[in-house]
Amino acid sequence: MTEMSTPATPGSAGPAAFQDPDTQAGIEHLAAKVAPLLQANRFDNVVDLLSLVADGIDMTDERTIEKLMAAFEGAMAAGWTLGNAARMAGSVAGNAAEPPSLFQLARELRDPEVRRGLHAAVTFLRILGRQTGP
Amino acid sequence: MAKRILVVGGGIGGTMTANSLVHKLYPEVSSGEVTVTMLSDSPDHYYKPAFMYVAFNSFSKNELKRPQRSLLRPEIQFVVDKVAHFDFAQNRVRTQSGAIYGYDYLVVSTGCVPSPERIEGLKEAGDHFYLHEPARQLADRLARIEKGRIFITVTFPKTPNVPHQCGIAPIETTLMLDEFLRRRGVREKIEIVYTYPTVSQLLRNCLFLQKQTCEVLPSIFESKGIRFKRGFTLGRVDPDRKIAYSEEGDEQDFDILMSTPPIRAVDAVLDSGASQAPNDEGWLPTDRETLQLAGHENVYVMGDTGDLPVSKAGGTCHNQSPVVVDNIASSLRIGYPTAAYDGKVIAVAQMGLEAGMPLWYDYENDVEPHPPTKLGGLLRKSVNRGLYWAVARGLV
Repeated sequence: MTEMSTPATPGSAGPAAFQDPDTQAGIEHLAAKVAPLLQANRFDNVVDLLSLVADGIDMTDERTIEKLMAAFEGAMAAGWTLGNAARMAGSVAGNAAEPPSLFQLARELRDPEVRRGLHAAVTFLRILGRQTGP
Repeated sequence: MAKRILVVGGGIGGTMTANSLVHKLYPEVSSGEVTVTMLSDSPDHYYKPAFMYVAFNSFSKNELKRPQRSLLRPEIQFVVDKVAHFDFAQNRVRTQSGAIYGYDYLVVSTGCVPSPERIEGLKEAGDHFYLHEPARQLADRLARIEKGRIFITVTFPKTPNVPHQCGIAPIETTLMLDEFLRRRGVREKIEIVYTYPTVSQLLRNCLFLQKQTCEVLPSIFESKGIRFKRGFTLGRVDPDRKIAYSEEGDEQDFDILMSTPPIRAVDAVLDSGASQAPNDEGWLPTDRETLQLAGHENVYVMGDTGDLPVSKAGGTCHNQSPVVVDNIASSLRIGYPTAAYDGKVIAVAQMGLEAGMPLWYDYENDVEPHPPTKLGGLLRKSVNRGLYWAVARGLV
């Protein structure tokens, strides 16, 4: 849909910039630095890499994105959940003036959120066992 | 006593703001000096901008839904209860269950409501894609139509200089429609007519709400055989004869009427008495820089709920959220708000089924349209399929 805009053209500052002595010196320095690489064909892999990237973009479709993003979201959500739990747990534990007694810790088990967390942890271990089993 | 921050609305604006408030104010939150509570009318969060893809059978409802709790930091108290009444003078809200929530700072991010019933005959005869069920209905019609005429209308709020929902959506869906029908092999038998009303915010007789984009649209539409018509402000619809009448005196027939319908604020905002917007639209008067509600320095308004001249879209909330967070944090810490919103909106427009065009604008600068690309399309697909959920968590 190239009709949406006029192709970008260099502004009037472009030619003036090239006439600047410091800019010319910089370009000459860059050309001198690149010259040996050009002469030794050291850009072949760079060009091939660009071609590979272009191939990858051409080959990528909605289904590829769907799979990649599912993996992204899975990792991101898991990291987020664990990170949240670690941060808040550390904060709560750190703010307590005294560590809770064993009796107080045992009473925590009456909290439904604690039991849900334990259930999730035990289930996690069970599924880990399933996936690492024969 | 702890300072109470109440966020009303579990859409993208409220969700990212609640998460960012906890992050920004973590020392105060972890020590119990500040609490953050979210009230939402749903236990689930829907990626609403993608309902337009539902209209083309590209997404199912479950793909667009996540449990709201899973998107919120655990420090946030999340309550599923719809706000029934805002009492801005008394710094409290009342919910449908009868509970009262007081606050020291309030964020109102309640979105807007598509209201086709505000135009005679539109609800009966028109289709839209701003909610899931209407988008499903439109999808079924678009998947079956073999020949005829699809007529596209856009309705702006009557409140001066306030845009309709998601400014670019009518163009996006028109271009998607063209490609969708070509893929189905029926495009040659179906006429697409895109129309725009006489008044579009500060512009007159354009095809879009910003001039530069308006000027490039005719060549795009002509290249695709899409007809377009300026100065068609939908006035009423005859569902039986399938004719759309404009306020300008025109009448046009259709087989499918794909509309961007009138919108309004949610009931609780409408009934709050804080809005002076005409036509009972309910937009809250919002400071364009601080985002505070007029007359209430401890109340912040985000996204669709306000009366600002920027798009009612997630890309707007994404840029307003840091301002609201900074202003609440600085008000708590030093006594006054320090951040200013510059009107920035960033989005990736879906230009047809494959191409995308990143866009940005603010109060001073309009969108500068440039050629859509496949890379832009892949970026938009990535947002749709995963990045959005990182944005909601306040990570991006």
